[in-house]
Amino acid sequence: MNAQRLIRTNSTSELKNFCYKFILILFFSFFPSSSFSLAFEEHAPPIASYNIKVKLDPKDKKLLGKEILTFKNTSKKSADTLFLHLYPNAFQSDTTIFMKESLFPDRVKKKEEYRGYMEINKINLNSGYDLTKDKIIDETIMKLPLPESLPPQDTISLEIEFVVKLPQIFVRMGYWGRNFVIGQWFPKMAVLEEDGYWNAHEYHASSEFFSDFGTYDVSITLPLEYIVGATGYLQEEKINQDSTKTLVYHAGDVHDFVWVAGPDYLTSKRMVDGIELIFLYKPEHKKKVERILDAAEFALKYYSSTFGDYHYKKFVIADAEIGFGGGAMEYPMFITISPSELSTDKINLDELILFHEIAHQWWYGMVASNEFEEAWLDEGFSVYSERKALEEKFGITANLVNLWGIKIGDKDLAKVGYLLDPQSDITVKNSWEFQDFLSYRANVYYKASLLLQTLENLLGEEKMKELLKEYFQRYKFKHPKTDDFIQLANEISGEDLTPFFSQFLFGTGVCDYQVENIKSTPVKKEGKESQDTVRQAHRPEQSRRTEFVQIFETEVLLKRKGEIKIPVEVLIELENGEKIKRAWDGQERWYKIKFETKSKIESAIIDPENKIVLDLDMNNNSLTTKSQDSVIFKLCSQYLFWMETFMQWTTSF
Amino acid sequence: MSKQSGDPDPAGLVLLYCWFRVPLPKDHRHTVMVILNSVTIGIKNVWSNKFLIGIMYLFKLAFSFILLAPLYLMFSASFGANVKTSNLLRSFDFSLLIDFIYHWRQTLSIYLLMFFLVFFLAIIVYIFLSGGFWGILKDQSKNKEENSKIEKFFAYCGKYFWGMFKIALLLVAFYLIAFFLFLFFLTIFNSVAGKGSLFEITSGRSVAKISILAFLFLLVNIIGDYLRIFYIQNFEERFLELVKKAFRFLLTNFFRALGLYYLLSFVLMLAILLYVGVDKVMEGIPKATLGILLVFLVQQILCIFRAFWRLVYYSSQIVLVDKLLMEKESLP
Repeated sequence: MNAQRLIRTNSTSELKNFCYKFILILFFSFFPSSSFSLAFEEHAPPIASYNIKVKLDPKDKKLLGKEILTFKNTSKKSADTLFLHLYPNAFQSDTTIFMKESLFPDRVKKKEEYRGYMEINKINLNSGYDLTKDKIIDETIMKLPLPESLPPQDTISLEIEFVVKLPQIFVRMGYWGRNFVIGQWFPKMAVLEEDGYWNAHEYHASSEFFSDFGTYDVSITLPLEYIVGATGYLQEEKINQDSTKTLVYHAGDVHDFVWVAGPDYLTSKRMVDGIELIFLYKPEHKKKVERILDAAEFALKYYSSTFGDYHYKKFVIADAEIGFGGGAMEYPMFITISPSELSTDKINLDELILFHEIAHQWWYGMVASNEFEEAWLDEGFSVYSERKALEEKFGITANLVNLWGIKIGDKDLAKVGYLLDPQSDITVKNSWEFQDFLSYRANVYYKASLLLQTLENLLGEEKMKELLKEYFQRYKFKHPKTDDFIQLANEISGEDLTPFFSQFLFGTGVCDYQVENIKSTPVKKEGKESQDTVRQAHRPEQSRRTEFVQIFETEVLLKRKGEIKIPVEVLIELENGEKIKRAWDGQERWYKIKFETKSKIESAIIDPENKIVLDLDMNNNSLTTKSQDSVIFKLCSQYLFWMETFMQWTTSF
Repeated sequence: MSKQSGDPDPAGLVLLYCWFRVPLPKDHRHTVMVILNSVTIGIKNVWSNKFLIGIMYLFKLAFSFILLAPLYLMFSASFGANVKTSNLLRSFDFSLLIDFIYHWRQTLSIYLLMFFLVFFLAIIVYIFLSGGFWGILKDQSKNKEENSKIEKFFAYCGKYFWGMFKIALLLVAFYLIAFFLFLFFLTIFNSVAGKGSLFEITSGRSVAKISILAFLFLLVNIIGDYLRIFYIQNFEERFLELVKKAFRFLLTNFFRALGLYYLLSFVLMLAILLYVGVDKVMEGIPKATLGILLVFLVQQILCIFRAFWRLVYYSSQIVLVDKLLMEKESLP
């Protein structure tokens, strides 16, 4: 068969598409305040676009779908094979990679309801050529050898029919009660990189996703009473004769499509700077509505002003039963959360989760880095962004917990997370290759966020804002890599930050500086002549006096206990109040500062402004000759009282 | 005559009678007088044996010091010459604590083990000492004047140890039963009133839950105290018989026993609230050595008072048992 017949170059359909869009834009531009007017201004070059018709069968917990997938080869090489993700197959048995890696490997074995899978019933090229018999499915990856290779810049179209059996809610997909969360649910094209390499990884327990931008036209048919939240803009809603309805959504400049549906959902909406903010919530979370919407509004405004505008005109928050091993999750224009019972006016847990997931709209949604291979670029960035938002809203120190005198900030949380496993893995590596989930989180989420915090402290807040703003603008709707960010950081800062990033991102070393010793030894007395003018007149022989000033040789011994070498500031304070600043390049294992002073040394501090938040142990960053007994006494007396109280209660029987 | 379940709460009656001078019916007045007398005589009996307060206070102090010692060394090493330590004088600095825990993580895991061992030892020692406390206070209530009370105290410790140990074991079982009862209640409560947040301790829901748990645990404490009283008063009898007697007494005088316990607990709560108030006031004092010393002194005064009041609990309940049993014997 002729390749030209197999591969649709799409010239006529592209023209049609253009005309259609042009008419629509013209039509909607007459409504100046309409959210639709901007909704169609699509910026990302569509590489993988989908037209999906799906029917939800709530009784059998199945999705029956038909998909037309249009894919453009943007690489420099011809492609003779296509790779597609079939994510629901991760739940098909306990032997899948995902289940074996997951925290609940036996789950699927326990109950049939926990199983989920995807069946591919038909794959045709638009010419009618049947690819079904050629497909090779390896769990969550489907390989499709093409009869003719797809040249660069050409487009191919596939017609796929599929059935998804939904599991009882697990991680990011499934049902609970009568409600459904439908994420990673359709056959989805893997990413063909510029060099012709297919970036197609299996679904792993600790990794997320990576896909190309495109347009999504999704029509969902489901029971009439179901409330739906989805990526994209609702174009049409029609009632069918069989007590079902069909909702048609369109989304452009996105790389995924998710939806939730259920008869139990309630909806609350708010307009935020032209963005329609929608919260779909369960009735039991009614009291949380204002809090969630307030937090989301704050985050959208804060991130838009800090990094760059939120591109879309709609944002959906869905209250979802996330299921075992999951958590809140980000999708384009959409997040799922589960409001926490632990969240009170003293514990900002809901805000923490919301700020994090909303930050992903920038670092994943619009700047779409590879979550499989370089997860720090979205998770680390989102933890850092969530911290900035929390600090902006609730202050620097107690932005997370301010309860019973206990004040905890997001920075503290990140430090705890990092210290749980700071040395097992490097930060930039495939997500599934980390030692375990703890190490993955410690490095990808927390170490990376503290790295960005350290960078901000070193560069200054304004420079950091400039860097992130530029990073967002330059890589919006693209797939930047770690090197792109490092290069940009070098460019914006005007410094070579490569060694800084290399050590923290590509090494397992830690940063730990210590003041090992401080001392002042009297060495000599310095003479200083002075004249008494009054005496000079009457007793010239005694007119000249010599005053002696004690000189000390002051010594500060600094040590680098960790492997990370980074320049540090040292602040030395003398007993007479004089402050002396010194710098150490931090290259050697130790460094001795020696100088003469007129007063004894009182203290020495490495990194006095706590800029290097990745320093493993800040308690050894300083030494002082001043007694700290009162603090020790305070701590001990308090602990003694607690112990006495503990004894009192536990011996009361 | 035993109290009926429909009768008003004696603790409430005590308050009404003492503070507001509300005229009460004769029966209730008698109940109030019995409870008040028990407390008054209980306080006197403890005061006559002040060394018991000293022993109880020193017992807690000693074990607390044992648990403090390793931490003192760690605190000194991490914070003794640390410039940033002064942050801890002003407020709670979580960042210092994180690095402290990380630095000492291996030592702290050993410390945790040590903590449980010392705690277990403390309980055994307390069971041993409790024989002495109860024995001396029983003697005092019988107006036995002893010259060598310290020797007598330790003699009682040895004499009653095994029985006290058995009672302690029995109480562990009772605490477990109380806990399961609480869980059962919690299931019903949550389905009716909703779950709420663990941290919303000021909400009505949480107060109700805590009150029920406290009530159940206090009930086990009361059972424990009366078991001990009947044990030391009927030392020669079989253990099972004593348990029966104690339960019979508690069931027939449930509200009096409860009233006395509530009254004593109410005073203790007042003392704790007073401490909390004083502590709040002291927050304003500059955190220099003198200020910290003042806080320490107030804390230790509270500890001494708690030791004293624990003994008043014991002593008053012994007096109550004596009075009620005497009343019963004097009935025609």
